[in-house]
Amino acid sequence: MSSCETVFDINPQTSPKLYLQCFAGTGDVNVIQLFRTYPIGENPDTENAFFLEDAEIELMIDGTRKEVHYASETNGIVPAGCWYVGGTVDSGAEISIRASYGDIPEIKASTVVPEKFPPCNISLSDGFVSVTLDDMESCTDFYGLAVEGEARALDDSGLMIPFDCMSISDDVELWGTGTAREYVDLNFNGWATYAGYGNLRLWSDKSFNGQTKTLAFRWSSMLFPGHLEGHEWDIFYRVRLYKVSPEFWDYALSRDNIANNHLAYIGLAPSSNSYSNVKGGLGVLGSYSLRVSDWQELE
Amino acid sequence: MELHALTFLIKVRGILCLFALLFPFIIYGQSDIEVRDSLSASYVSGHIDRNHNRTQTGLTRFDSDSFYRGYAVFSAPDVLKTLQVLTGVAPGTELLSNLYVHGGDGSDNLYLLDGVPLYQICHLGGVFSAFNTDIIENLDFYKSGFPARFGGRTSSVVDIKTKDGDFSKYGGSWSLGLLEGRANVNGPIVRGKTSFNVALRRSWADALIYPISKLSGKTAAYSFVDFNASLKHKFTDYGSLSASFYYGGDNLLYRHSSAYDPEFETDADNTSANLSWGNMLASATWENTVLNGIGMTIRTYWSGNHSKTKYVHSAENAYYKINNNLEQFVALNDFGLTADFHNNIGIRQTLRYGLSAIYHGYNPEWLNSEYYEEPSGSGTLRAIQDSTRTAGGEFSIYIEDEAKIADWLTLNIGVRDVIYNMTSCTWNSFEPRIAAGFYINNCLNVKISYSKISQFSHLLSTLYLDMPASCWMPSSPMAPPMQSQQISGGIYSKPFPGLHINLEGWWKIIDNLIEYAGINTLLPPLSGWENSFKLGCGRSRGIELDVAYETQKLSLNAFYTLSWSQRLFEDIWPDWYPDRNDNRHKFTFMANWRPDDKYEFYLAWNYHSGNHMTVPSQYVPQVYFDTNKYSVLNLFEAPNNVSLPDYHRLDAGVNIHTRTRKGREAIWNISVYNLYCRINPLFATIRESNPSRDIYSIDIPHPVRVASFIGSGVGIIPILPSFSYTCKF
Repeated sequence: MSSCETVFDINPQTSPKLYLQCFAGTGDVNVIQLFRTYPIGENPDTENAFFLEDAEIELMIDGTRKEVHYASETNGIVPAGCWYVGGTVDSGAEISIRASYGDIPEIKASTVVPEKFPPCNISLSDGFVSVTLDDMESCTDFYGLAVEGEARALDDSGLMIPFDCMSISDDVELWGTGTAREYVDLNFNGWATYAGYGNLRLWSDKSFNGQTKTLAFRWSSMLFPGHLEGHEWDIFYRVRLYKVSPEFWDYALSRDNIANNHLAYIGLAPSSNSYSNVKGGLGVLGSYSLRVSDWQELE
Repeated sequence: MELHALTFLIKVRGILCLFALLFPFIIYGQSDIEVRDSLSASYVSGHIDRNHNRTQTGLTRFDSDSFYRGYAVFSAPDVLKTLQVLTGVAPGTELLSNLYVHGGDGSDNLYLLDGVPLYQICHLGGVFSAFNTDIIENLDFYKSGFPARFGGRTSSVVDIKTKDGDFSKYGGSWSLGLLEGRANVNGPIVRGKTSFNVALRRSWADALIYPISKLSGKTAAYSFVDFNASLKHKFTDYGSLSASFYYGGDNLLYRHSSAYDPEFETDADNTSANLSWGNMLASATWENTVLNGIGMTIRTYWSGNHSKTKYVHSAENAYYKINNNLEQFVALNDFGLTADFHNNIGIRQTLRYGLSAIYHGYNPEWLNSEYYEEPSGSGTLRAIQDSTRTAGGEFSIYIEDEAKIADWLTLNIGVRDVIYNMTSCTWNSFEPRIAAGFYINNCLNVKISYSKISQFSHLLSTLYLDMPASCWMPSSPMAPPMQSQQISGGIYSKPFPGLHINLEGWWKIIDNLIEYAGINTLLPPLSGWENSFKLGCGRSRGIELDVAYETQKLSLNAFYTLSWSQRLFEDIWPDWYPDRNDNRHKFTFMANWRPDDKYEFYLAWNYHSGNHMTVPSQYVPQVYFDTNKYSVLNLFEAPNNVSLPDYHRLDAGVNIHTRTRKGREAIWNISVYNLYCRINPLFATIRESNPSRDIYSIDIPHPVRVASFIGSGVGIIPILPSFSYTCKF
């Protein structure tokens, strides 16, 4: 009475689409990732065929078209194979992207850059951060916090080493019991880690809409002693305060759900979808606004 | 602890599933007998009533013998396995019984035991159902055309009436099967006035599992029990008072202990799990004919559903100690008072009307904690607790008029109005029910029906398995009541004696379905549960063909369903997609042959198109900003985008009727499940045939090796023989 295996082919019937991933923020440069998808079971015809240097992209910010550029080589900020646009984006700006490539259906997506993080009280200590704010009842908000550090050499070398700090899971989630997801950690999540959001924790205000809320988590530094050899350093920390758009939140949540839904892969639980707000294609166009606290040394 | 608790449950369930198969077949061993054609009830003893003489579509009636004249897996007849054979019912996952009727999701079936609703009707996740067939008098199964007297569930009604005890003599039966035993005793307390009926069914899988588990150094045991008791007293020929009691429960126990071995660096591991779940109900019913032609039934009842889980796990090695503790308790209590009246107005019209008031009390809670200790002695405690206690009141009133308007036309027109009240909100549901029967000639009827039904409770389940951890919660503003509307119609024919051909079709929509949309958990969220579930709708349509041929010695049945069942959850996917149980084709063939009074041979072949599951459909690069490299990311589009292999199975058996030395009727049953040993997948894993997990450099052109997917269906049910012995006295 041992188990027996029946092998069968899987051929999900689908067609290539354009995939867009862009999280526009109030920074100097915004990266637009535009690729073509391949249906499972098909291989690209040519090497690096995902990357679409010949794609047509129309980026509009508050109704004004902005020029986008393709990075055939990396410039340290924008990876090769991606598009980018320079210039700042303000809170409240409406961003829309339309793109097309060859015979693949055209895509459209839009987002509105959230307002900045509201006034708040910040408490940052070694290994713990808390931010207390008054949430607005009139709308659904999504907040994000991250701690980052900077080591500054005390000598005249001018050396500075920026580093991230990782949020530590607290007692809210234990496997086996479900809770209404109040936050999502982007730690060790491929898309977030390597896009620079890896240490970010996001909250939805569904459970505290219109109330005073303290967002808090424990963190640990990702600066290792080996980084500090050869000099003496002062270490500074500050808090990055995000407000993210609903698309950013939904995408982060869906990626987290997919990564933690093993029973769905064997058909014993409802599956998690890949969130998308891209009409005609796949992917996400989200946005965020960012402000930072002052640097401080921790005792 | 990742996946530890659930993995253990699945493993134990897998072990128990090896011993648990039930699949009763319905057979016909008698020719047609005279039908008592009454507008209120028609019973055709000895076989299933094919619904020719009633107005409703979608109604199938079983009498008490139906469950014993045919195939029964492990030689134990079962209600759910019987109903799963029928057209329009998707069986779901093999062994794990549930009814997915006309595109339903399994939580939308109303199970009534003598008019009292039951919530948890499955033992061991659906391997057995909670109904002891020894005490069933008859069973009405509605898939459409619901009369106004039923409400509260959107897909089906399973209305079970139990037998009264014999008022004149004692009798009963006992039966021993491979995994369960049953006993029934009934008789008079006061001849002609008062009778009792008691039935007990208990598994003894623990008698096998327990010693086997001990051999491997573990302790595992599972058992279930069903106990029914009823009392009836006739005050007059027209008035009686009865009392009923039912207890059904499951117990699952698992213990394991191992010591720390520093040489091999294996952890000390101690696990203890104890799960219990089940139902209990008690009711009192007063039946009386108050005036000529007016009958009255007043019933008061309590129906309780409970589930209790305690899981303790500790692990220790040289580097840490960890203790996990998970406790869960679910209780749902219904207190109801119903009054039903029926009035025969002449011979051509019956009026039914009534009202009911039900109090629903919901009380689920759980606690999950983890204590992590380092060698230094410092420790971290993480704990989370969730509970909620709510109540709802449900008030309904209905009226239903069935009238023979002309010799060729019978109408059943009814309406049901339901008010469901909670602290935060009140819903009102006005539910029209219309059915019409067109009598063409003695051999041909045509029927159509329309019904609208609301359901005010949602079943919170994080898995597709029937887990005791699932709990019922009332509707809320964020999760309004489910509602279905269904149109059905059909042609019902008896071309010549012994042959029935029914062709029926349906179209149905269901609003406010819920689907869990979170990470894997064993216990669903309670406070703010709506935030973890998506809201959507479903639609279903299909055609059912039911052909039966019966003679004195031979009975042949064929059931075929062609159906589509879809879901639309816009937060998951913006378009319609297949339901998990969207089995395009379903076919069952059953044959029963009784050449003489001693032997009865039967076989059955079951087939249905595979269930659906979700696999990634596309891939794109996932770019690493800091290293200028990328890997491949799989994307999920529409859910349930692939079908599993088709399911089919052949079962066969024989009943040998004998007499004991004392002249009592005895039956030996020998049967074989899955005669040609096809291992149908219980679930499927999807893996890449040529995994592409390399990291590619954007700067260096590199051919991308991309895998295609292979499905691997895992089944554990081989050919299974069984036997049972039944004695009647």
